[in-house]
Amino acid sequence: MADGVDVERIDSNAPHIILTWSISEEDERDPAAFSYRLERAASPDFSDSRMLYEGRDRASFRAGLAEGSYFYRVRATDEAGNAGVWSRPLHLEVAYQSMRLALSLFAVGAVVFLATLVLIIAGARKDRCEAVEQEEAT
Amino acid sequence: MNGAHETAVLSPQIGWFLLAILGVLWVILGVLWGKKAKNMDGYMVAGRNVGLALGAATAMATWVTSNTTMLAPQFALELGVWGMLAYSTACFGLFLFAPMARRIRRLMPNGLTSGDFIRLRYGRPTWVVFLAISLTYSFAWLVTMAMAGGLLMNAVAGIPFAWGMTVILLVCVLYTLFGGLYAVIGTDFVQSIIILIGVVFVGAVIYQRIDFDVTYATVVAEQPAMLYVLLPAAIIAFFNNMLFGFGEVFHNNVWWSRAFAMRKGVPAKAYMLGGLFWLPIPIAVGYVALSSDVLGINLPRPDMLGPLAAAEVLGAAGAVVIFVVLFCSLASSIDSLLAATSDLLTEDIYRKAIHPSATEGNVRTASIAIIIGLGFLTWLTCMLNPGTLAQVLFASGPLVGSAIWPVAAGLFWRRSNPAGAFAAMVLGSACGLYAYFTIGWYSGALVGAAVSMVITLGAIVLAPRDFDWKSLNESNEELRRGTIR
Amino acid sequence: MIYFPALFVQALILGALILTGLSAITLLVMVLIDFLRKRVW
Repeated sequence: MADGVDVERIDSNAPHIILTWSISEEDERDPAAFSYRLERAASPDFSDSRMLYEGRDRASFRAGLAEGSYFYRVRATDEAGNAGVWSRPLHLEVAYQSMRLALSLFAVGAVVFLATLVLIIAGARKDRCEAVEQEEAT
Repeated sequence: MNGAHETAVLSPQIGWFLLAILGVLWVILGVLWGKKAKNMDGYMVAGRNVGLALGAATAMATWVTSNTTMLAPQFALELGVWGMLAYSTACFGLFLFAPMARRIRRLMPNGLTSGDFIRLRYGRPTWVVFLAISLTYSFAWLVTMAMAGGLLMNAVAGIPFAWGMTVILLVCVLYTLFGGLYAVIGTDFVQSIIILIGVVFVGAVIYQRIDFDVTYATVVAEQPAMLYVLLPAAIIAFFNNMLFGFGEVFHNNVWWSRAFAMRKGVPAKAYMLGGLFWLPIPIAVGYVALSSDVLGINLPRPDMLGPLAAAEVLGAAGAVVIFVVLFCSLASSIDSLLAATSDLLTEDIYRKAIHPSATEGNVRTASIAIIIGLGFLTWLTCMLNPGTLAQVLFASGPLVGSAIWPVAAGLFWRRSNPAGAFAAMVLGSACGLYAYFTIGWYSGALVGAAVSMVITLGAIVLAPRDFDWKSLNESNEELRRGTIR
Repeated sequence: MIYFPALFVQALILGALILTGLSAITLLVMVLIDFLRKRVW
């Protein structure tokens, strides 16, 4: 019934992901009437699965992910308590950007930041002197 | 609205009630304070006599946008402790603008907009590029904030998106229209106090409710990346975020009009204090991200953390406080943007480009039409609900980043070259956008600022120009004479 | 991986909450002073 996981594998370099799901499009009932159970596992057979969320929301933001593989699946339960089948699992592979890219962008940023700082501090000092001269002139 | 979240934390009745009270309060205060505006100078720059308390509060409140109260927790979720620290560094923009504000106030005692400065300093071609950058950014900011208002009222109280958005926009248009910058700055003060007290109250109650050691251990076990010191995504985002902030503050008329509005001797102190007051807020709201797992909160959208956590811990009372705080933080930025952007359109487009001989009455009429028009255009864009507009705002990072050096160097260095400033903004924006789409969002403002800096410096070294600072002091005599009502 | 130490994070949070509170009080005192000296606007 729940088939919200449309892509089988996602590669991400960010430590977070937003998961969304819904009931299948052929099912004409209101998706808000269902309760959903989201599970995560480290292996594709879900032998070590853990419940992450159970409730009526149809999305979940997962934060703070370390590098590695994650498998997610979701299942809907209707108001009468009938549980549907598990969705196709989503395989999330988190691998961060390289430290080299990170540090080089950080270095460029630091240079621009420091240069801006110098420009403004030096400018402000000169501005004070000019202001004093202007006061004296008037 | 993706409808992913099914449980509004307040009933629509309470939501409407709060909306009505706050809306009426702001409009009444706006009309009352607006009575101080005797002429266009009063209307656009609040009589140029704003004191330190209101000056510092308005700098802080304007910088506390929905971006701070909604995006800071999101940043903390996405990038962990680094996210909070990186967000806090946005206050450096206000610190660095402080000496600029003092100089702006001194060199341009009759100035009205940041566009005035660019036109007088660099001439028309550069001015046109600058206006294009500034208006793109301002409009994207305005629309995303009005939309955030609608989404928020919907998520917190179940008020339909269109209604929540319309009401918050209408309230801001009304009091800005009646009261001009007097109303904007006055309401900013009240909104600042409400925001600060609300943030401390909710933050402290949540802190008391969670056991810090348990929270920390849970994060280490479940969301370890939030505590990583060497998280590449965070290290990458750090300076990009800071430079984006610099670009926003340095170029935008929201900040310039406040520098013009403050009494002599006030601007530098007010911006320093405003930055200091703002500094702890992203951490005070953002830290809740660390506790989301311990509190057992599911986040259908990362920007919903604040309201959901407050409602979880404090129940309806917490939701009311958060609703009020968010309304205030949205209103204090929407009003500022409406006022400053319509001033930019009135002064730079209408008075300088279309109708140079306009009388005070003409300008006032144009200004009213422009505020209403801008409000309507914002409303219309929000109704079309463009999912891509937040993208436009993020993608404006390279544009505003490329304005940092032309503005700062033009303000402090006599030798800055107008053609250099033109090229710096055009090429800086182009390279920054290219990096944004090819390398990643986290490089846009950074590359824009870096390229623009190199070009600005290169032009000064290769072709230095001279400039007489006195020519920045343009008289706006015709606007200050007479009264408007 | 190196983690931010618990003490650092705790100090950061408490510091931020206290500073935010102080900001509110400072602003109120400042406006009171401005008001008494008739220098609000």
